[in-house]
Amino acid sequence: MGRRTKGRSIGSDLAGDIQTMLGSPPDLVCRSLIPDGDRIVQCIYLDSLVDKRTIDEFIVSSVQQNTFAEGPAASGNQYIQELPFTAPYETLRQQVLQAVITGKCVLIDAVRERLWLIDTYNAPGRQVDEPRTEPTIRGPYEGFTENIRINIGLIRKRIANPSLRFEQMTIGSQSGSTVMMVYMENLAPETLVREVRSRLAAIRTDSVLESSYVEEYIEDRILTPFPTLLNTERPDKTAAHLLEGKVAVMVNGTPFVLIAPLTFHELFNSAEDYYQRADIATFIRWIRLISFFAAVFAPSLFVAATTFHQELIPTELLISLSAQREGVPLPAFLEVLLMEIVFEIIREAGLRMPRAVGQALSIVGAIVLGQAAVEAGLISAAVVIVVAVTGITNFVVPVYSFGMSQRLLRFTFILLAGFMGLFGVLCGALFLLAHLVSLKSFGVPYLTPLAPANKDDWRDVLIRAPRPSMKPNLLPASIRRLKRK
Amino acid sequence: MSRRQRAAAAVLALCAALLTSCWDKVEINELSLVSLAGLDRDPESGIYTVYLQVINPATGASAQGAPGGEQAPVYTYTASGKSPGEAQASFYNVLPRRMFLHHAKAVLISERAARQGMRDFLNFSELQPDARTSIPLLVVDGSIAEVMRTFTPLERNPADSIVSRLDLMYDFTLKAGRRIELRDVIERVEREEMVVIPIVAATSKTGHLNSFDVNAEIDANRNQLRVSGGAVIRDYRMVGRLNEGDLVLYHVLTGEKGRFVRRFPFRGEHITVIMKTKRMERRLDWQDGKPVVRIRLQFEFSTIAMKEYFPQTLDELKKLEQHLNQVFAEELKTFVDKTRRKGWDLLRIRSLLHRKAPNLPDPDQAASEAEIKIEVETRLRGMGNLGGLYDGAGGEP
Repeated sequence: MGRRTKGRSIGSDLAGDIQTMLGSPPDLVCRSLIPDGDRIVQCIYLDSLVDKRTIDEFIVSSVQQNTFAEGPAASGNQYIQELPFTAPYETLRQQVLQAVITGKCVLIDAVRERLWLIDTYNAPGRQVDEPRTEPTIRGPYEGFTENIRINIGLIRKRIANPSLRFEQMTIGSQSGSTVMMVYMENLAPETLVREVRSRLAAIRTDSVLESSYVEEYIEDRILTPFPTLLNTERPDKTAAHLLEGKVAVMVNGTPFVLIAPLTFHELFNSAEDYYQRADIATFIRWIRLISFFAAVFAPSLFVAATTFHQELIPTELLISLSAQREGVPLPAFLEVLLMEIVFEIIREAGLRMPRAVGQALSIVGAIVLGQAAVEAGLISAAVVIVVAVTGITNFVVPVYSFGMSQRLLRFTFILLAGFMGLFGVLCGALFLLAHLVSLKSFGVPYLTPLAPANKDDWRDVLIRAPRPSMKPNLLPASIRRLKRK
Repeated sequence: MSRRQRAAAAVLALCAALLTSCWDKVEINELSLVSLAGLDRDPESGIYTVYLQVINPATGASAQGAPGGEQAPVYTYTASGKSPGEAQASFYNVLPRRMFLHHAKAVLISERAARQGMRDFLNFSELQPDARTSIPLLVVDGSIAEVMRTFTPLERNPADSIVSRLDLMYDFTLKAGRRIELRDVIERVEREEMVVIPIVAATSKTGHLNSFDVNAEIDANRNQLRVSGGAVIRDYRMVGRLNEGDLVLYHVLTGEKGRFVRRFPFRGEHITVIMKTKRMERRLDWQDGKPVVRIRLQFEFSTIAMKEYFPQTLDELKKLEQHLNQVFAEELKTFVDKTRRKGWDLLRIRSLLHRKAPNLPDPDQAASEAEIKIEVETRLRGMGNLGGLYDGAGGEP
């Protein structure tokens, strides 16, 4: 019989102890397999987390036919791990408990005094699907899933290179979430890898349910509307960034992967830019830039021009605007502010509402708030146009979190324009510029390669030069900068 | 920055919102958009009268379909006073919205005010921070009150109608020049040069004056404004007029580049030529101690409007060109001599002498004694669609 520790035996008590410690959950399975007359091998696993086919076809059958044989497992083998039977009972019990709740199957052979943990993890989840927030017309349709194993596979599929590194760690004292750091050992700067690793290791939290939990802990500055880490659910985009020497952080349970460092101009780049012809990609990039300025500044410029600087508006337009405003009770500033807030409400409601009701919402939004409000003389048609333009241009940006920052900035600028006109907008813009220049993402200035200027990289900033004219094997300026350190 | 400092900064920023900047905001529909300003001064009483034509935005929204019903597109407000400032101040007796001059398109001045001198008006206008000087100045022939109360068909805003006509007249007839804006007048007069600005008058009326009738009337030459002729300004005073034919020659000689149509005598008949100035050079020489101004003009012309004669060979063309060179140079010279006899230095010879020979003891005398030589060079550039004119018997008698 097995070695006794503090009066408890692995062979007879472990299964019962695990059951008690887990509170006898309905999905806990303890099976006794009998390979030959005098041996009983116990098999313990959580039914909801494992691949039952593997257990039935491989483990159970091989144990019962007495063909299950494993040599001493190499250390670090994630698939089959053998625990020393001679270890203290408490330690073993803790390890076994941890293994069971992370989807491993535990085999206890009390006669031969061997204890194996076999990875049979297969939690229920979505299959690989199209990325919801970053769809493209041309390019792969695969997006990350909530399963980190699948996500690793999606990256490996794209980078068949032995230098690809995955470093796993567990973060969250309660949730024990798996967080994976991914990088190319030969490309990523050592300083960056070390920095990401140390920032991840410094996280003290009870749970990590989404990558944003990690993001808030590891980003350089919290008080900024701009994201300093890129998040994406596209494996191709992640692979492209890894090949530029960046570091990705994956969290089990979310399709969103974080990529560091991030520079401002990358917020305007979409994966599709590199799948389209260069001229078209350049054109679309400019459209995105214009849209960014429209989304942030259009309502504030409208407010400033119509309430402070009417002399700037062309006469015909001024007459038309004046005609539209006849009888409108609110000042232009409040009109714009109110419509923007209403638009944000509709947008938020549209996100939360069940799809079937969504159409009703858009009808209410379009007809009631657009047409009826104008016809009733509550708001002027121009304001509806301005709000609609900002709304649409806000969706052009390829990074969703950046779209959110634009919404915040827009309101700030509307307030500034309402109080101080163009002077206020200009002050705000200067503050914004100063803030952008002062931002850093993992030690890299946010406006690289524009400020500090790096001409070699300009072929992929405001334009997307054709591939043959880009410098081959040139890492981005942000990474080169870190490598020099 | 400590927490206390941050809080103080936030409070200061909030206080900034209470500063006066946000109190000077004006909504668009609190403004009266002045499109045309008119100035008059009664020489006997010395009373200044200012007319402001204000756009009625309710009818201006052209994008919303048919122009607005029975409302007038503009309203003319009048105010009088012993000075322009006083007149302006009394506008609020009748004007319900804040006066907004930034979008004025043109300024009219009555002939009697122009003849008395327009310096005071221009000074007053320049002193206003919100007045624009990049708009044309026109002299009104006849009653300014009538002109300011006349609607224009097609282009419903009279100021737009006038400005648009000035552009077209420059491009296609050269009966209007480019440098007729308030600031040009001021600049030129300050340099002791003469300026010619366009003249506007009301055409004959059929009795109705409201905009609906003007827009319903098919005869667009009546009940509206007519831009024609030029007022000669010297030292902020109108000293004479130029008719349309002379106005073209004046603009040609001052280097304006528009197209124009002109009839010239040719082999006992007349030919109509469309011309365009290509280049103008002025050179100052001295001959026996007297200044000689040589003006060399190059024109391109086309025979598109020439129904009377069609040059068939290169030789004929050369002869036509030579003829035009000679006739046109003579016409220009005649015009220059005529104006100089009146004491008008329209070619700004005095200014040229002042620039090139600043040490002349008596520039006025030298300018009046200066000899002017005009050379013209024409070149055919367009022929029209025909290879030759039809020669049936049914032409003009």
